[in-house]
Amino acid sequence: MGSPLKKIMLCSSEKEIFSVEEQVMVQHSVIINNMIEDGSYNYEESKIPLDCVDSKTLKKVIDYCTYHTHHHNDNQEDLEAWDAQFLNVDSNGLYDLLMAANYLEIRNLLDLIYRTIKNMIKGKKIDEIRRILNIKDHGFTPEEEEQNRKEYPHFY
Amino acid sequence: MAFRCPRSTTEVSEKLVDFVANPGIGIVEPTLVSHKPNSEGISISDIVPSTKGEYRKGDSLKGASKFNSKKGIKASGSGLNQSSLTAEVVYDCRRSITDLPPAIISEILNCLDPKDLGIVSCVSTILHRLASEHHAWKEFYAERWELPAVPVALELDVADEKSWKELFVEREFRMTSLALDLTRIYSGSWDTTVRVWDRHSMKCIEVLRHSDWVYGLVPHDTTVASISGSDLLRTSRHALRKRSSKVKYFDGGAIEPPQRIYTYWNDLAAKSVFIAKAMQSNMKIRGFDVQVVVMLMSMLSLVYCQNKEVVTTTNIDGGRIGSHSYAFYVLGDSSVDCGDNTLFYPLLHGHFSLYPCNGSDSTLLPQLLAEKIGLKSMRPFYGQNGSVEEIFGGLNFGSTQATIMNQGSQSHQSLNQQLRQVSETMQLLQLHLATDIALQFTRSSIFALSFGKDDYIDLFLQNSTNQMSNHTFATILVDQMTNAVRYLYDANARKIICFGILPLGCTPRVAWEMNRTSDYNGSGCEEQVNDLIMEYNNLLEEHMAKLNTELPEIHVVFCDVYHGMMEIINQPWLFGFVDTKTACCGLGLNGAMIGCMSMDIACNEPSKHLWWDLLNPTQAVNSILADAAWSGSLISNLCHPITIRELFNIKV
Repeated sequence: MGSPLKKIMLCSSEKEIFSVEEQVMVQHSVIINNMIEDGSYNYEESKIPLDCVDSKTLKKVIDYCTYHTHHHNDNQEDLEAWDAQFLNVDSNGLYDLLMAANYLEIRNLLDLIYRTIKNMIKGKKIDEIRRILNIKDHGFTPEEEEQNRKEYPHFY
Repeated sequence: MAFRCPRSTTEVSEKLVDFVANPGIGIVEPTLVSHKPNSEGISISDIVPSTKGEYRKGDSLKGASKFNSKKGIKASGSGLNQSSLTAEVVYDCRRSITDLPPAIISEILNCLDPKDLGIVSCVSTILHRLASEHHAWKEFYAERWELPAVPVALELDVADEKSWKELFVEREFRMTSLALDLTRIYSGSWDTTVRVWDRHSMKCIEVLRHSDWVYGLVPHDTTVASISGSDLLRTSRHALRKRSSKVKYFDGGAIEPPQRIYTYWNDLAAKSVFIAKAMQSNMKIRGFDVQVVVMLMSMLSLVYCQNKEVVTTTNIDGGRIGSHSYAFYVLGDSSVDCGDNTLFYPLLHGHFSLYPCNGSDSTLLPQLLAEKIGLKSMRPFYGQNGSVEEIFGGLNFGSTQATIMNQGSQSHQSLNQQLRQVSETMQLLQLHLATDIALQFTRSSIFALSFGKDDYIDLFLQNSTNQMSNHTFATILVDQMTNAVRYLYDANARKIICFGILPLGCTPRVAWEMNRTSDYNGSGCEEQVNDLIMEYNNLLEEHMAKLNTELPEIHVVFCDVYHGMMEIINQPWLFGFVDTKTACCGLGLNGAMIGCMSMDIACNEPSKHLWWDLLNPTQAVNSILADAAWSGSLISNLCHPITIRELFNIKV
């Protein structure tokens, strides 16, 4: 664990540089934690380049980590409300966050997004799920689709 | 140090490990990374918890890999030209979930429950493939039912996971009920169908359709009975019968040689199957035993199906029954059971138990009579091993401490309980035999009732709180006995023996107890007690005689054990007895204070004693009584109007 005051630099795919409290990222991201722990990060010179994460997403990720670092003592309901607000993004934004969280290995955020997507799907009919998940080409042949509809009329 | 966007999460891991393993190297060349052997990538996956589950199963994801090549992810593949890459990756039109790496989709699927997972698999082919192959199915299956000892999948040459999904879907997701026999699987489903599957090919060979969700089914041979109805959970039993139950048949066709189709369905089966289904989910709450009872009920109805067919197809004859076409069934109290006919044997009945009690009761009157009839293996009801042959051989329902008046307990069964057990046994007999054969068997069999002794022991010795007058007490007991005979008559019993109570006032225990307050007379009997016993016996005899005229075809024989024993007591030397007061096996005055606990304290010549222990006569007495009851020898007119032998020989 680095000292709380130290800052690290994260570089988005647009080469924008974000300065974050070291502890915030170390606590949440397995990858960054590993980097800091094995001493390969040079506080004077290094910037961690995150080429897969665009600035907008990176900012959100940092927001998430920061908030959860400083508010981890808040009661569960408040945190959940904040999370819900935080994830109030379009599906592209959600996928970007998902990819970023996966890339940086932020377990909490990953779980949160998985749960969110699960809730989007849960209890829905097939047609609704297609709309929600933006599936335009489901890939079934008309015959297969017809068969499915016949066999599981409750799902459509 | 440069991070390269992963083409998929596997490469994240590779790179990461490089990073971790070579901390000195500030910059990892992407080209180097891409040449790393795959094996390393896999071993590394351990440090990437979010994806490791899937990468162990790399094969199952291969099929989906082509979908990686869609815009968002493919773009990151080249990795060298970063600026062009990012532009391409992020800001295109709205993306779909299927653009995500399969590993991540798989993680999302992991969160779903079986039903949603099933639905998602119909959403698109990519999701279908991922969802169908998903290892979660096996976990779902294991969680829901535990893994089968021999996985059905072994017989099938398909991927393990797929089978698990199929198996799970068969059982839970689509199916509400499942049953199988040797060749087929039957499934009821909330898609309103009952399907019949061939177990070897795992193919559906028949689809039967209800108009509503199917809740349960019972297959038998070429028949399957099923029940459906959407709001079944709320319908009363009446409504259930009226509109929800429905029977469907299918013909076995080519699978098996054509057989006759039997239709059998009753409310019991309908109800029990339905309850069994409903119980499944509530099992933990409702408790285990209820579930078991329900399952037994449905088993019973199946057995019934089976036997109907056996009867009609193989024409069972009397030979199946064994050497006899009759049996001897005994109901009673401590006069017929030494204390081992209990669910909880060996549970001591205090000094009511006859010692020794080795399960044969062969020293008691009814057992001696059974031997005369030729049945040597009469078993206690609770000593049965479940085979029908034992029913053919006769059963002893009698239970030490059983009373006419009181309810049974864990240690004994009262008159009413024993009657129910008889009734069940006769029903079971019907299931195993053709109805007419079972009927004939029951009619030819002898039913012996010997009650009352323990009621009076309760009255005299147990400080019973009974406030009734003695006359009322006897009347009530006899009424109950009369009802019992009627009950047996309704259950098709036609030959019934009813034993009176022995001279209880002469037993060492009663005589000793009563002697503390009143006088012994010369014979050592307590007259006050004996008078009450006589009143009961006379009333019983009267009622039995009445039943003989009242019920057609019935033959009730009353055996007056009291007078039989009084003849012995009055002239013991005629029968070879020396001692009519002292218990052979007991301690204290007249052996009446402490009962027989060990053969060590027994007298040397029990055959010279009238009494064995506190309340029971010796085998010598019982043998004389048995002879007299059987043929009228030694003591005349013990049983009337006819002897047991005559009763036995009557053709019903």
